[in-house]
Amino acid sequence: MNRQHRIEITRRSMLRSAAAAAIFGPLFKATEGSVSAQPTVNRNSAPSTLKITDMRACRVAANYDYPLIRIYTNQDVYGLGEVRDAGVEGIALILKAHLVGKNPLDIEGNLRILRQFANHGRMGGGYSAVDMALHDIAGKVYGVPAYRLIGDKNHDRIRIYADTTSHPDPKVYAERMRKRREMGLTFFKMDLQSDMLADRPGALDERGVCTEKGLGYLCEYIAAIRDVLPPDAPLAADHFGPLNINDSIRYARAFEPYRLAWAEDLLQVSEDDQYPYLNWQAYKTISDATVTPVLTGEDIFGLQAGFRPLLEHRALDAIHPDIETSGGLLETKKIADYAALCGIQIAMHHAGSPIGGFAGYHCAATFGNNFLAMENHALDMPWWQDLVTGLPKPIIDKG
Amino acid sequence: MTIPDDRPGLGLELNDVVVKEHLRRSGFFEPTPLFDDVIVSGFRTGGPWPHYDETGKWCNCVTYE
Repeated sequence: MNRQHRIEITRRSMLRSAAAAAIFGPLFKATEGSVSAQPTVNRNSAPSTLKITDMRACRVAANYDYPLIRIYTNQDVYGLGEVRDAGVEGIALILKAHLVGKNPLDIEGNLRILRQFANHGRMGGGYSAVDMALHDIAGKVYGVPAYRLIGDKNHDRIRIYADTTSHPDPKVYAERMRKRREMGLTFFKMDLQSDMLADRPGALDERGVCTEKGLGYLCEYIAAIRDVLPPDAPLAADHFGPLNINDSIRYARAFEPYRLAWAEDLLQVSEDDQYPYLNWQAYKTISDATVTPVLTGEDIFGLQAGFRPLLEHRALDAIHPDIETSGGLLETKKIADYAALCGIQIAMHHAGSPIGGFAGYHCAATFGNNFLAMENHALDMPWWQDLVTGLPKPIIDKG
Repeated sequence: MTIPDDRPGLGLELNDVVVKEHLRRSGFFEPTPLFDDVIVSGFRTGGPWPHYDETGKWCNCVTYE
């Protein structure tokens, strides 16, 4: 914030409160006795004097650890947030000194100060966790669900897509996918690691990338899994291996007959020093060369220095932010709205607890028609939904 | 999944018992005094460093006013 501007505000607000005290002070005194006669005025909380007092954390051991935080206030209301899965809670706790004493309802102002401590990947986790906790507090104080703070509820149901662990035997792999279908899910994702083919002669080159023969084997997995799914069900694929731009194009073209919902994070090897997921020129080259939809973005923080170039250059068919890295509800809503403006679809990555899950569901509820589905990575962990109370169970009801 | 409309905020509370069963290491929302540091910068009011006080007066700066 501009320093001069800040002082102006301080001076003005001081004058205003001084003037108000001078003018209305005696008036309030005179009517003090009649205040209790107004039953509609709730005096249980005083939002304008709400202050952050503390931030604490714990870490749940799961398939990817869940670092959880609580932000406490001086009025008995607290907020829950979650740092990016497989991250550390310290990335949120270092922000504590910048928040204590601040009004948690000043969400954008507080986040603006924290932005200098946020970056892509797990480094976006602290900022994102604080955003969630601030929206939790604000929703509780104003008595509204968190989505109401960022937009309208455009989606009554949030579609959940299933991540499915792979197996080198296509029959076993297809059986795992059939169980996902039996759970009632309607949107599926499979991992297609090239190194599943390590034991098959001639399937991989010296870099661990599929030869034409290897690509044929990968397509056999897709065909086996397509067989156990409804013919119209969306099926996405992820985790291909150490692909460069040309590898990515070869893979994506080989998958075209199977009409994947998307091929995720294809590019893993970037010739320059950029993170592959920020290399919009490379992704543009890949997506221009194939009709398989191309998607990335689970490690990107923020709109301005993150998703914006990918969206403006239409380098992807869909983006895939993780609300525990992308910047929480407020930033991810901006990202989704900008994606809609650019004609790009949005799915949501998620491998965390129900805390980050609900932050994502609330956010996704406000998205436009470009929303596809949000991931759940804990379908094989029955206690995932037992980590929280206060909600109708099962949380994931038929996807 | 569906989002209940009658629950403020994110709409959930932690189930302390289950969370405590699954902790990676001991410690359940313990105090964090290590992170109580005062961040010293020109934006920080009060103290023996150059700063603006609540009235906007520039304090504790020997090189210019």
